[in-house]
Amino acid sequence: MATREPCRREIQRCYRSRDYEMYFWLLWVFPSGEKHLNTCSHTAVDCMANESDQKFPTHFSEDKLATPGDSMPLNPTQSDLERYQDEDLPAEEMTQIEKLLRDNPKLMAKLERLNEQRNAGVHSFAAIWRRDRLSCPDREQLRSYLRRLGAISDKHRSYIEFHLEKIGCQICKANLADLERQRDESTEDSAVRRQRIFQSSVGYLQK
Amino acid sequence: MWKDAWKDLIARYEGRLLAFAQSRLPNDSEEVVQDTFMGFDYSLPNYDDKRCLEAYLFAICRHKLTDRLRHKGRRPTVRLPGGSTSGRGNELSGGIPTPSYLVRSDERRDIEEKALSRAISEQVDYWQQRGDWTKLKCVELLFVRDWANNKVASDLGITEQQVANFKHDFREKVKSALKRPDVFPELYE
Repeated sequence: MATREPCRREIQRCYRSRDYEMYFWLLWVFPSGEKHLNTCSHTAVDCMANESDQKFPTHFSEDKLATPGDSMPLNPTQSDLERYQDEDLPAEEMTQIEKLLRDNPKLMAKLERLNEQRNAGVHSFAAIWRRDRLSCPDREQLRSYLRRLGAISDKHRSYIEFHLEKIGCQICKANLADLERQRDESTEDSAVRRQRIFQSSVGYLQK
Repeated sequence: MWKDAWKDLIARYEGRLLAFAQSRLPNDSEEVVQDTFMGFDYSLPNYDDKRCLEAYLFAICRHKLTDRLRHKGRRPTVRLPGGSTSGRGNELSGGIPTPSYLVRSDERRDIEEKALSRAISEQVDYWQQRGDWTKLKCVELLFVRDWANNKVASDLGITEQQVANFKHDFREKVKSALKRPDVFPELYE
């Protein structure tokens, strides 16, 4: 069966009928849509949240978020804000965005609109990638990375470092910190802490 | 029996959850971890055992962390749809549920997300097995960090044309994997 390329009118129809999920899907998967998105000065947040705009977007507001790739955190991108909402940025960047949000009502409005989309169930490619941990090294790989074992190649090691530092995956960082603690902490210390958590929670369990 | 299972769960995940919470709330991290395990117990009836348990626990931990930070006044309160500052909204601004929201059920959304996740995962696994780390880094920076092509090229020491090629290739692969009549009939004819 032949693949049907949606024309601009179909994308337009999705937007007008507020079928935002399909609208962005079409923009994302079809080159024609991508071209539109690239030439359009709207941000995705504006586009999806501005319900009063019944026209197909041809221009965007001037208070758009940062251009992707701008340095964090003075100009957080949509992805940065999503990660902020998910507590998935390094602590320093989280703190800086918190401060920015207090001082910048426009940024707060952007975050609120982003929340509206998420609550309405709009897919976010990056959020799915992060939530399902699609490129995260497993714990054994992290252990090899930490102990500098030969089980992983230098290029693989370089990728893990990239994932930890440049992508800033907080779950992998937590796993690595845990492995480091296991190496350095006495077994007795961790056993006492676990027992404390067990004792304080076991009485409340719904059996 | 169930006490042993509970103890095992704590032994297995407590350390990594604690490390995660400590980065944000060093003084209350143990309480956050305890709340996380309790939250897991409460949410067990809704837990889909096909989901990764670790990711699920971290998701609960994030919520508990956010609650505590908000309670301490460290995290600004974000207004949710309908003027509420808590709870889960189900409509866009204006208080009127969108037609798309009503039509596209949670179930459908779940199917779509799983299909997308599977499509990305296949490509990521393929690159990892082949040792195509540069391609993976490139796509991850583009889609997860939201970096621009030129910045990715500069950071990875490759040309912008290569970045564009990797991006195009990745999109085509994912697009192709999504062309299934049971998932995205709109893309299939």
